[in-house]
Amino acid sequence: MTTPFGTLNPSPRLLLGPGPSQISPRVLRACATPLLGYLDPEYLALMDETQALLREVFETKNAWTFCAPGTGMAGMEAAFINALEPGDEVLICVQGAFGERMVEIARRLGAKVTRVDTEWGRATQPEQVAEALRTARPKVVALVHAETSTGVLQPLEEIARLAHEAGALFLVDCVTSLGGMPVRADAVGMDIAYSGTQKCLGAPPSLAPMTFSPAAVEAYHARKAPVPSFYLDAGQFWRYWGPERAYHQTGMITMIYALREALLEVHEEGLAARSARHRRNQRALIAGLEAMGLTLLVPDPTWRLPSLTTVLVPEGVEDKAVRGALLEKYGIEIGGGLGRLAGRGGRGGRGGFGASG
Amino acid sequence: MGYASQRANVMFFLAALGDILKSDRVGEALEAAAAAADAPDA
Repeated sequence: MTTPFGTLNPSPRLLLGPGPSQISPRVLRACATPLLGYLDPEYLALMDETQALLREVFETKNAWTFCAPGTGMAGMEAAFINALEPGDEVLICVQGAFGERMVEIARRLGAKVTRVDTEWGRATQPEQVAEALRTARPKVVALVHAETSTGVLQPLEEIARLAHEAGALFLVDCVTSLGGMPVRADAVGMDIAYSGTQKCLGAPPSLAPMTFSPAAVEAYHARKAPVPSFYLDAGQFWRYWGPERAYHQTGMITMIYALREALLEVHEEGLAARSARHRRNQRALIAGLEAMGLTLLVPDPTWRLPSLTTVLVPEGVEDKAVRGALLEKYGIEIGGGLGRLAGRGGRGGRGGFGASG
Repeated sequence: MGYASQRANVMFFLAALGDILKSDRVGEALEAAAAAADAPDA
């Protein structure tokens, strides 16, 4: 029987945007592996291995380390919905589009939001947070480690210390950092951290690795009311990923295969070597862009993300036309500006397998 | 496509971008990128 739909045959692309990034033939092969049932002992053993590898890449001993179903945005939503209840205070550092999304999610949950705003392209300074904490009494201090919309790498240690001194949990978005650079969750003092699989980890999109510190687990158990989302309830995740193995949702079998393989690639290369490789390729890209006369959004080299570079669109050039031509003529995908940078910036990523060599 | 080393990916991208922007500094860009990639890690 003929159909009007044709055969699935996507054009070859070089994915150099903010994500998804290139994935290796090894990870692709894992995606074509036959399914197991989500309570099959063989699959549960693969989940355990994935969990151990996730702890390694987060650099944590947290028991509650697992994946939420969905992209990094599901991780963000799950982080906030498990940490906050209506009326809770939260302090959010906003320096890009994903900080803005944190604010939106927290407000939808009925939390009282204190914003610490920073010019896009710059990192939040600890003094700004200290000043806000003179009056705010947040349950959670939240920020983005690697702001995908601007290409800024946010220093964390000092702000983590301030959050803990204020008695708050420290919640960090690691979507564009995990796997591309050390995130050091335990050493930094992250209480809740989440990421996505489609960037520096080099797996397809649709899982959100997460980790909860003992303090975050304690806060979860002290909630006044159950988490309003059954699907994104971290306690339910743990019931499936932990020793109970209770049914919560159908396991993401193929995605776990892919993530496990991608995490093994990180493990075999080593986080330090992987981070150095991203830095080396960042230096090369930036040197080339600047030699071509282009200007980067992030002025301070110490704030520039090794995994993503944001370049300002030159005067008289339309960013959409450039991105379209790169795709059509060369099969290269890069990202456009997000939020208030729409039309002003182009974003090139170096995560995942595209960053090899 | 895409399974080259990232150094090759960076060079390919710079050359492609230079072509689309009609830049007359593509050669300089490629030389600068290569020099930066070859520089020892700090």
